Amino acid sequence: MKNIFATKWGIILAGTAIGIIAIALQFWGNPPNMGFCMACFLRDIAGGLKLHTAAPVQYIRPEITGIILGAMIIALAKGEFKPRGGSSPVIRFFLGFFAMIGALVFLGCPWRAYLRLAGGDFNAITGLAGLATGIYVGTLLIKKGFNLGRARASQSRFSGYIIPAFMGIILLMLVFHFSKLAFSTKGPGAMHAPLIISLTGGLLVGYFAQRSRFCTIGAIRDIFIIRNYHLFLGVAAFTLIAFGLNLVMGNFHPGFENQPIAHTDHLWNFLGMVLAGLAFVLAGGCPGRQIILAGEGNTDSGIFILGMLLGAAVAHNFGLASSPKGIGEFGAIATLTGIGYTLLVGFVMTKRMK
Amino acid sequence: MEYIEVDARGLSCPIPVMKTTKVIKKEQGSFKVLIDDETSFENVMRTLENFKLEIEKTEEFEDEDYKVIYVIR
Repeated sequence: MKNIFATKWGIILAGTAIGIIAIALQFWGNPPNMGFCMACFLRDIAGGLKLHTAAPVQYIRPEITGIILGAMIIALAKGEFKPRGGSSPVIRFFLGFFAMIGALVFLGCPWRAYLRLAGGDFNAITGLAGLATGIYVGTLLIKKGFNLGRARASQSRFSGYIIPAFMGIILLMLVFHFSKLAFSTKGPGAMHAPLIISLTGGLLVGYFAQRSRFCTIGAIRDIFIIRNYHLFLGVAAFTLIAFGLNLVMGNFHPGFENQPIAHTDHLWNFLGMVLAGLAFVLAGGCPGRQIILAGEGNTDSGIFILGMLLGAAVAHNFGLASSPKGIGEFGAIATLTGIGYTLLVGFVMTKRMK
Repeated sequence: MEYIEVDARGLSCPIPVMKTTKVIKKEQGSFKVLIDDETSFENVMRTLENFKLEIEKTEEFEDEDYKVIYVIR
């Protein structure tokens, strides 16, 4: 039973579908140039859970829960649900932590960077240049033998269900409008598509991304490391369809200034994404891919996502995150610390395992 | 028949492809790749196609849940 989404045209189809869903979510109420943003949405979930109290960004984003559950369902159906883990989990937790911080300095994960580009936000060019730089440095380490160690099949399949179940419970809390959750009344957290649309969009993306192995980091990494464009085709399709739909719908506004939920601090847009690129590439994939893998039962990816949640909480509790006005009070030092951590991990874990 | 072993089980992307590519470029002779993840399997198969290598056979070890790709050179 061949996986059609693993072919060239399959991944192009998947990327196109994901792009259409992203624009549809923007149309139905998600923030501008933010049909999907794994970093922003995990940050919003952290806010909804009151892990931080930044009022404009508190909302349990159903997209994330949809993606992980959609991935889990299709993985189970295709026999690809394989609970596994044990590959340097604590290192991965903090890779997630710092990847989130880098993304929040730029104000977007790689998915959002491509959507911002498709919307005419030229600051995304700066961010993507940073991302590519971080990925490039990561590939130098990978070529030298960087390795976080082998993951093993989990002692019990039960382990693989925990993170999807955690997300499922959070989704239920949202569905029943649990009074202890926080819901932004203003700002990006208040901009969201109706729950059923967000959830459906997430489930569909979970399916397309799981089947096609869609990965916005691998897309760039594989060009550097093996001169392969397979994953890039998926990302290109995603970006191009989003761009086309934006044009048609009058949502393409080229420029650097006054872009929605963006800032023009070029240095930190660049460096924030250098950090994100480094951290994601050492962890083996972009945040979307980590969410999909967690849906497949990969507990290392699950731990990475928990690290991202904590990173988001700390970012907003300690003024690390950016805003449209610019970088946060401690955004610069946090980014440099993160780059230091990821490079240290890179050096220490190179040649340690053969 | 002697096969150089590439054990890619449990390794994160892109290391299975890296290890396979290294053997293709730096070693002579036939080799076998051990894989326990479907995505890595697809990636390695794609790599072997790109290098136009001949796959002798693929074995599946159900209990331990991994596959082995045998490549003839």
